[in-house]
Amino acid sequence: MNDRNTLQLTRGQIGQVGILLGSLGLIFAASSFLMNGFSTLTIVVLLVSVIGFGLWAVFLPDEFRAVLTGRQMRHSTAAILSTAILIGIVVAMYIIVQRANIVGDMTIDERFTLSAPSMELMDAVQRNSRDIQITAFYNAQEIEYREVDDQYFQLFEEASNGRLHVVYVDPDEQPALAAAYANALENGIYTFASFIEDDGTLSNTVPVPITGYHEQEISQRLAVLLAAGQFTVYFETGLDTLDPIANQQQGMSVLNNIMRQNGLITNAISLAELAASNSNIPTDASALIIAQPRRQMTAGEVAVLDEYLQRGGSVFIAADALLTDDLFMATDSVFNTYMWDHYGLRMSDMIVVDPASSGESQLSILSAQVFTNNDIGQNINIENQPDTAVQFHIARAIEVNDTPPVPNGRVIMSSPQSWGERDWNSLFQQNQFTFDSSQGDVRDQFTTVAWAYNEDTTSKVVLVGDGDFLTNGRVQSPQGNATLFLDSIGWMTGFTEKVEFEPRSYNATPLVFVGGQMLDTIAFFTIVVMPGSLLLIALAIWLRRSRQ
Amino acid sequence: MQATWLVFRREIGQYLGSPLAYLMGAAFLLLTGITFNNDLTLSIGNKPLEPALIPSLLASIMILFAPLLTMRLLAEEQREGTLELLLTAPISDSSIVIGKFLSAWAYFSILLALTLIYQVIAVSIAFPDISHVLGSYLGIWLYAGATLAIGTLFSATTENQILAAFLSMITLIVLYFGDAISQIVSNTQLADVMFNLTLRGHFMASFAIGILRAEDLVYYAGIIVIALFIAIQIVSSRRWR
Repeated sequence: MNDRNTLQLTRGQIGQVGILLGSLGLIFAASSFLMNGFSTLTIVVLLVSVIGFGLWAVFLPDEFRAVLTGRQMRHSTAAILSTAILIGIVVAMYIIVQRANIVGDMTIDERFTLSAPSMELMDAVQRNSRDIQITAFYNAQEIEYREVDDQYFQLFEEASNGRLHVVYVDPDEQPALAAAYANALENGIYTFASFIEDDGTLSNTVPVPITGYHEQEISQRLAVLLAAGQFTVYFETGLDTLDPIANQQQGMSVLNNIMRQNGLITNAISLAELAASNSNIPTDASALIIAQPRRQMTAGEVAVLDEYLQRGGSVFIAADALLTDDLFMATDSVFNTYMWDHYGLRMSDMIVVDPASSGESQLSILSAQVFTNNDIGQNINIENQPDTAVQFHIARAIEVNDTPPVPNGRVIMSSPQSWGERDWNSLFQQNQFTFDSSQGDVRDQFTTVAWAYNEDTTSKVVLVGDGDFLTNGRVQSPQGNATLFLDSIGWMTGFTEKVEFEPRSYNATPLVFVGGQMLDTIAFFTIVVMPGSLLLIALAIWLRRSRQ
Repeated sequence: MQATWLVFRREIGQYLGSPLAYLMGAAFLLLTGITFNNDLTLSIGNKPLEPALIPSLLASIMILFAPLLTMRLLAEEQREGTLELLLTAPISDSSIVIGKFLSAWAYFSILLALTLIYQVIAVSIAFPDISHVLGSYLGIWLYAGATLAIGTLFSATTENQILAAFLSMITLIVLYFGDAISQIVSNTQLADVMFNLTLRGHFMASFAIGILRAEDLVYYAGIIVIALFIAIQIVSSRRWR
């Protein structure tokens, strides 16, 4: 008898599981159909639903029949089915509304609305010949952040009219794909923008660091992407200069990589070879970098450079102090004279010693005075940010003509306590440097970085009295070294103007000082008076009830 | 409608006539008041006042508060046998359930409205993002509606108030922390689905940051409708069980 009861109970349970499976299966099948159409998942879930109802019919045949005839079952089945239908309707409505992506921006400063510059940028995205993909990496633990970022991505996606696509990747599920972005991911950058080529591959990928100002940051990096390929920067390699590919401490690969990550094309070129073959610097050269050259330029090389500058080229020169008879931009050299005659800038024969503004030694001079009348100096020596200073190691002083042939100016100067050392032999061979006016040493404030701009030809020159600051070993210590170089390149090529976005003004006004007495009054009212009033009402009701 | 109004009036009268409801309200205001003052002190000369501070706090408090508010709604009627009397009265089952639910929601709305005093204070001493504040208040009001509907549902399932509160609390915890389950299995798709099923997911990533999304409105309205519909079915089942 007991066995029979147990068997009946089990059959009943299976039947109940069956109707539950059948109902849930129907809901999921409807949802799957709405989301993915008539997919494999829809068919599988529908089959599960049919099996569920089948189990119900097989194991509880009486109840199944009672659906049509029995009062109780008819009611319960109607209740279950009507609930399932209601859930289905709500789920369908939710999916439809979610797809419609109806969003209202409730912030007073419209943080979730694209600004006019961003909208202009998105017009450029629509006109661009290639689609753009934003690849963003989030693992399962970061879904909440993804949801917030997604609000912004959707704004850009919609404004692009289908030309910008957002793809989310889980680095844990697709480690091979994430490996290509490993360095950036390790540095906390998890979003990237790329062009989609015809064959589906991604190109010109630029990282999109997101720190909280989503719209500005995404817009700026999209601008960088759109500018990708428009600017080509050449490294001069024929003057025994720094190697832009070498990743050793003395190489210059870090800056080269940063430029490439920002969408700039970089190439190598030799002035000597061009002079020998009677060729010119390519017309696509937005700028030429001459980093720590170790010999003088020949007249032929100067002629190649002159031809380039005459047609509006830009040159960044980092002329180091080296103990050699063939010093680049020696005071009496052809190129030094050329620079003075054409741009009002030249290298002096003095090495700057600065007892007041220096690092580990008085030869490791820090940027004491920075001029911000040019884009190059805007981000150097920012107040309370010591890492934004520039540090040179054994830097040459630059002479700036105050009545120049073209507009020029200073960017960085040493402190007024500095002096110029002319005895290079003693300095390099014995590491001795003392002020000696009889040796020609001069006390003055010296220029170490200067610029010049020919308005007629639109050629630009940036002259720096040091080359070591560009090397991998020193370029990011302090960070200002990289800033000086990159902002110089930005100014010379026009890249900065192209990708710069004015920060949006947010109405995030910090709470101004509130007097202690007012704070006490607010605290008393909100913590004591408000809850206390309710407590008194509760007490009054309790007393009244207890009296009754 | 008339019947719903009658049930609502009777229930809200019970709330406002009960010392326990005022005690709960006092605790509610004490907690929100301390949070507001803490943010006020931290913000001076440092940052703007957090627009969604109180609604964000309430999003987690509602897990405990909603079951306490709703546990007696139908369970007490069942335990005392007065539900049968109500069922025999000339009012529909839906009027009973909806009227009771609306009374709980109205009581919460009164408490929520009292916290708007903090925003009045904020306006008098700073420049808060009022539209963001109001958006987040709308969000928490709907969020609370959903949690109270779930509480009403479980109150209909049993005559034991403690059990009803316990069941609704467990359900709300699952609906609040649901996305954490997916983190255990480290599957992004599952995490995404779970996050979109949770109450928190439809508040923290939208109302709390200043966005009003139609899908969140549908989500909360959907939860309210479904929970109340099931509660009505459960009450109706007493007629044919």
